[in-house]
Amino acid sequence: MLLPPQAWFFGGWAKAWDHACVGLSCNGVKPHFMATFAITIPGLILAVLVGALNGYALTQWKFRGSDLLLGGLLMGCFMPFQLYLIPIAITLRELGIFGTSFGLILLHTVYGVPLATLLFRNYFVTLPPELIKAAVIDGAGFFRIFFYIILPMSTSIIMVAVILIFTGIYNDFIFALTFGEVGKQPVMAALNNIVNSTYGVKEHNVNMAATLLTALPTLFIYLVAGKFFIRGLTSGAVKG
Amino acid sequence: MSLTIKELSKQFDKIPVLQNINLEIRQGEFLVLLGPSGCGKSTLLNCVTGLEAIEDGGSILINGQEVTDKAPRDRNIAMVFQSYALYPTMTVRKNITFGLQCRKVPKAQIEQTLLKTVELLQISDLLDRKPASLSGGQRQRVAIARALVHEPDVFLLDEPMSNLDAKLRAEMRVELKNLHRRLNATIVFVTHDQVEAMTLATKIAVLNQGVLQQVGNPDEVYRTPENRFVAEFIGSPSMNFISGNLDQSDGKVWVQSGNTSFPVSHYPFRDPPIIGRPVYLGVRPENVHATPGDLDQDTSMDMDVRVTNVENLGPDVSVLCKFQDTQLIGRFLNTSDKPVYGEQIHIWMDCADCSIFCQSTEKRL
Repeated sequence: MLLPPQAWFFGGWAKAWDHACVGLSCNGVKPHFMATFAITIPGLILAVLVGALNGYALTQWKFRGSDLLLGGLLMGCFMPFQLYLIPIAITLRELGIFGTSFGLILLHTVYGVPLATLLFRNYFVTLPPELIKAAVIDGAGFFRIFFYIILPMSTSIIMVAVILIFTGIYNDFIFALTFGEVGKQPVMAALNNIVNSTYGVKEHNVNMAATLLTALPTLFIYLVAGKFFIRGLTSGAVKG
Repeated sequence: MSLTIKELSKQFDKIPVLQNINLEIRQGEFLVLLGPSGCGKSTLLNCVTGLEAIEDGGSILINGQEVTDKAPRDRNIAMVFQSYALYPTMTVRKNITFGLQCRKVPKAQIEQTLLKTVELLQISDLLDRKPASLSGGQRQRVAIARALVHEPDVFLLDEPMSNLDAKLRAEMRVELKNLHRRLNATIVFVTHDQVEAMTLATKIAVLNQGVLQQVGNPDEVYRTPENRFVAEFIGSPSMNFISGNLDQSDGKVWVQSGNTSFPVSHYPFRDPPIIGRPVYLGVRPENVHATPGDLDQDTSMDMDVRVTNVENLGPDVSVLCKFQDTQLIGRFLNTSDKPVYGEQIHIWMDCADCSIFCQSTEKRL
């Protein structure tokens, strides 16, 4: 067990990518990658956009009960997934999107919004309110101010939100397992089906390869976006 | 291009911040709203811009048109903020034209207005820079340019100079005054700096605790302050107040304080003076003299005081001294034999331009 490899063999990688069996279909992790990105990217964009809008509305356009709403949203951050698996299942069924990728996108958007809102709100409260006032007097409306003035100043916090929420959606297992589309489950659920399969001989090389492949995107986004993140912090772009 | 504020009141959480404000600003007037921090002057300005809703009564008219319920963009006003509030991610060009783009002004016209404005403010070479790379004075100019391009009916400036150093402030004061003259613009300028108020205004409105104390041109406000607050707030060093009682003897009216009597027969009392009434006699530091000069005996008084501090201001010295229990400030020419700390000196107080306030109401008599 503890010996170094006797012979180098890369076939495990190809098999993990293309032929490893997930349940009954033996197409490797490839199709599940596609399925995951089809869920992660829309979910990510929606959650960040809605979260940013929320944060903007909560700080710069205070309305009656806005603090209460923020409190309520924050509660969302602390709720464990397991707590509302059944309510979600019922809701998705009623909406007619149970077991579809669309259902998962909706689910992740809803679950990502509280965190995104919290991040954006805490960033937006530090922006000088005069900027908004100046824009209002200049004649800009709610959305023009948001897209032309607020968002361009927020690159660093957008990066932070993207990293956190991408990782959150991508690494999610329980929703993927419970609500994933049969045959197009997200990669985390698929990986589990490969690695934890009790049928036949355990192919450790294939399992390890599949695991590493699955971990790559998260690693990648931390490396790439992390750099942007630091650049955003140090460029002084946020100082007026 | 006039602005009228009628019976405006405003409360925050039931605490009144503005009480029944009435103000009239005519075409070409430079109104300075002057008051200490927290007196409500910024709130008043925000009500004029429309950033602060008017819910507690009152109305605002621009050019005779009711705008009380109109959105800021429909009021044809422009504002310069204390922090300039330039959009940090946009170039100077975009900063200046953003408002015009919001109002869907045709491109050619935007370009034309932009060029005219930047030339006027001498910032043509800054157009492609970002605000972060501009100096304070340059940012100020860009902020003014951003207001100018709208050709608004009323310019609103909220303490626009408090972020500049003293030298630049003096330069910008002159420049702003020139700009005002050249454009014949209607300007409302908020400040807590009474030097700015005196130098810039054609009309000063002094505000304290949400109540308008006095409105008048700089000379009126300086020479005939309506009440003790205005007298104290305007002028540096501050006006001297001697408390005493109105007295009448030898057919003359005096303010008697201890065993010293100040002649005030010449004072234009609004109502016939009530003898015995407790009053404050207000005398500006420049009317306290170290020599009798050619002072009129009938309107001046001399007395002995002890010097408690001397401040050298260059051309003159500001001398603090103790008269009875009252601290007095005199502004003397800086001569070689200026008084020193602890010295007993003789001073002459010229009451020709004095102010007299009632002690209970603090109003001018």
